[in-house]
Amino acid sequence: MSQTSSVEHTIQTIALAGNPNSGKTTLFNAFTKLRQKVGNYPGVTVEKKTGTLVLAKDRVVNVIDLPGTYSLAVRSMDEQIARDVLLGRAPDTPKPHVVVCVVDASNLERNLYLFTQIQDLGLPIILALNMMDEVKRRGIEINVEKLSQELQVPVVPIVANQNIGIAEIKQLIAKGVSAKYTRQWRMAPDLEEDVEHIVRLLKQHEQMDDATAFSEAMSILSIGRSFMSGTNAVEDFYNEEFRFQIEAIQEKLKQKGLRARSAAVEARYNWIKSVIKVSVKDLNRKGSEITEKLDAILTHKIFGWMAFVGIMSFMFYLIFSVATYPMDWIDAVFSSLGGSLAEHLPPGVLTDLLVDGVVAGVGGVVIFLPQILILFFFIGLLQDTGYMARAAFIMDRLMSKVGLHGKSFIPLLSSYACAIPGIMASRTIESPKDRLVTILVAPMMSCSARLPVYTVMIAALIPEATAWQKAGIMLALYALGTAGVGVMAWVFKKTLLKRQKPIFIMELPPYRFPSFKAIMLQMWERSSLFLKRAGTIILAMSIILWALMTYPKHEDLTPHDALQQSYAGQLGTALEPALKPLGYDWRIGIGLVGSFAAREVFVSTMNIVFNLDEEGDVETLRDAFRNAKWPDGRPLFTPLVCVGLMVFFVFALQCLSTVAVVWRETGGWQWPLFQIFYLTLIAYILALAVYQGGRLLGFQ
Amino acid sequence: MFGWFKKRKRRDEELIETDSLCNVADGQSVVIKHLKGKDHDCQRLREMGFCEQARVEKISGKGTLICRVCDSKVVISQGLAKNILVNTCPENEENSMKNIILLSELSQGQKAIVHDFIEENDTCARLEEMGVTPGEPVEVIRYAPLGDPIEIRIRGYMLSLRKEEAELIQVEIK
Repeated sequence: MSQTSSVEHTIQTIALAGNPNSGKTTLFNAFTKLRQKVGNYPGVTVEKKTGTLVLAKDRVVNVIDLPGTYSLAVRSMDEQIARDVLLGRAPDTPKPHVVVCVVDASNLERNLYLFTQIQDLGLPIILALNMMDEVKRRGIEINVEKLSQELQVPVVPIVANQNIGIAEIKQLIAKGVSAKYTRQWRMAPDLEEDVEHIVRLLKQHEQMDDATAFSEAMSILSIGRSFMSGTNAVEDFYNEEFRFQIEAIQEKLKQKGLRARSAAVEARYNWIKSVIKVSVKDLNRKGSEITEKLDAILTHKIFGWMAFVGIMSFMFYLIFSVATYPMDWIDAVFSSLGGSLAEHLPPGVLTDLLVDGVVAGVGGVVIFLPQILILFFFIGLLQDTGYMARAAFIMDRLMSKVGLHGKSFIPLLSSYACAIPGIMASRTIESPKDRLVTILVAPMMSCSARLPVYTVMIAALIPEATAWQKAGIMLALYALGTAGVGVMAWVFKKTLLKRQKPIFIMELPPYRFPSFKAIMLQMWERSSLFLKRAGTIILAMSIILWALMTYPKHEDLTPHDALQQSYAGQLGTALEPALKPLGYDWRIGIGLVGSFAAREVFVSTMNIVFNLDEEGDVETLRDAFRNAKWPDGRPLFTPLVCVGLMVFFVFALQCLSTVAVVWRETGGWQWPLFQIFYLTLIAYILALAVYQGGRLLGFQ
Repeated sequence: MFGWFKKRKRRDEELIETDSLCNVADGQSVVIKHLKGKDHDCQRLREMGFCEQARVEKISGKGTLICRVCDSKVVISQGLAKNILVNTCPENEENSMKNIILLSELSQGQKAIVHDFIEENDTCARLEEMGVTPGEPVEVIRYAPLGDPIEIRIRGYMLSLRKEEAELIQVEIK
């Protein structure tokens, strides 16, 4: 194992591993600056962050930022990815040559647990003791040399957010690290024997090296239940014969009453304790005093709520109302750009495509940026300071009633403004199932794009509505959507994702001063991801939709007739039989098709359909609605149709951008398609129930 | 004469040891304090889960005993059982029974020692990996404003868990 010299020039990839909140990503940022790439591991929703680290002028190594985990025992997607990458099993990801294990030095004991698991893998490790400033502040003394000697790895004290110690780590990486290590912790002799037995089997049949076989054996034993029924990917790796042997060993252990899982955990922790005992002085178990004081207020029965409501309202106010100013500017810029392009270019198909398709489409993507930026500024702030965990702590009781996680609150709240940033914010939820449920239900929160539709429909329903009536109906619509979120989250937890037992074990990290650089970086990263991934899809889809509404082209017709003749118009007309039970004719059908671009487009489409000036105000459209008739003279927009249409808009996923973002966040088409299907189904059934039920009850 | 003395002594030993597992009433649960006898036998017992500090429930039996140890039923002979010395002192037993409660039953600010998990599942495994292992001191810092989840301090850091999960953890209060 002393191939230090040969290792020297072969280091090409390093991996950063560590607990959540250990400052791993801060170190990653310090290493890679802006040379980062964010993608997904193939086939899963786990984000893959890679970058490059410049060691010397002619020496660049790749850096992988592993997902933050507390353990490598394969129990979640994150853990599986971290483990697979470290074992060199992840597709498209090279096995790292060095692992930099980042630990929060102010919370060594638990942080070192993961370290012991990584150490088993036999990779060269550099232990980065992060947050040394906090350690000093709290009066803890760490004997770095002793720690390094006990743990048998090089240890570097760092303060990642102040760039302290980064150079030392780089030097170590450049110099090369040996993987020499002998395990110091021991379990009961019987267990050790069985582990050895499995190691032998693995080496024999799977040609694994010592370290891999050992950690694999530990994992196999500590899964703690029948190997065959395990949902973990481990079973894909072995043949039946091997699995039978393992089961025999597990059965034997069970009969002896030995619990392999606990034994391993306890042995690791006991060793860590003994290491800490000799290398850390005056371990102050009280924790941070500032944190205690802040928590006494921020999680207080009364003040805690006040602070929570205050912070959330402020954030919501910024996304919901302040963001509209830059959104209006963006809108203005893109429409004037489109206008001047239309003026200066020769009229023709290409100009139309450029102006109405591309420019309008890009504008439709960029328009989301202000909300995304503001939301991710807040999320970064809340996460960096540690308040996010407190918010989840406060809200969890309410959210758990419908099977959601406390951390689902912020994504859902932001979805009141717009589902796009809301769905993107669901990344803060660690459990993939909780995240998925949150994403699936989020679009039911009435977003700001529904407001123009609601306004028009309320005006059509009650022409001379008072402010109170308007507010009442509006509130009812918001409540309906929110209730839908609750009901559907509950349904999903009970049906689709029922096998998952909800686990809520969350660390409450100490409050820390946020790093604005990191927050800015995250905002930049999220927005560029949105523009690159979701944006391109949104653009493509809006161009297709524009083409549907424009072609085949009829220059001689009025806009109204041209729209009716277009593919979208034909689609709306074709939909009429399906929409008739809801009380809608082809004109509303076209409106619904058009509103897929964005819900508010419904209003402008209706303006065209009813032969109005495209920028017509609510009153003219309202009057047009009131005069609209079926061919046989019955009024089209009866109160029941208006109510039904509003209900339809509460639930239907009339938003290409949401579909694109869900596609990006869930890493495939099955979930967005399922989402369109179930939301449209609910919308259709409820609108049908309103219309037909209302008629049965004698309403119009 | 010498033989008789030897015999007498052995019987004395058997009589003195009122705290052996043989004398435990059916259904009673005790903690092993010491194993005596041959090294080989002791090791065998430990391997079966009868190690020091382990909790054993005597289910039934007069000569040969049926016990529950580490979640499994084990049958042991009287010869072995008499070598297992346990804490059966009634006050102690009552006390230790009374002192074992669920983590969810602790009140705000109360400290305790993690005793065990009431079942073995993924949640418990996760909790153990997060450092909630038997023997560790734990303190309930606070309950969330709505009464759930609970914030605890373990191994020097703060962890929050739902009542459901806290109900899986037995703790011993001093």
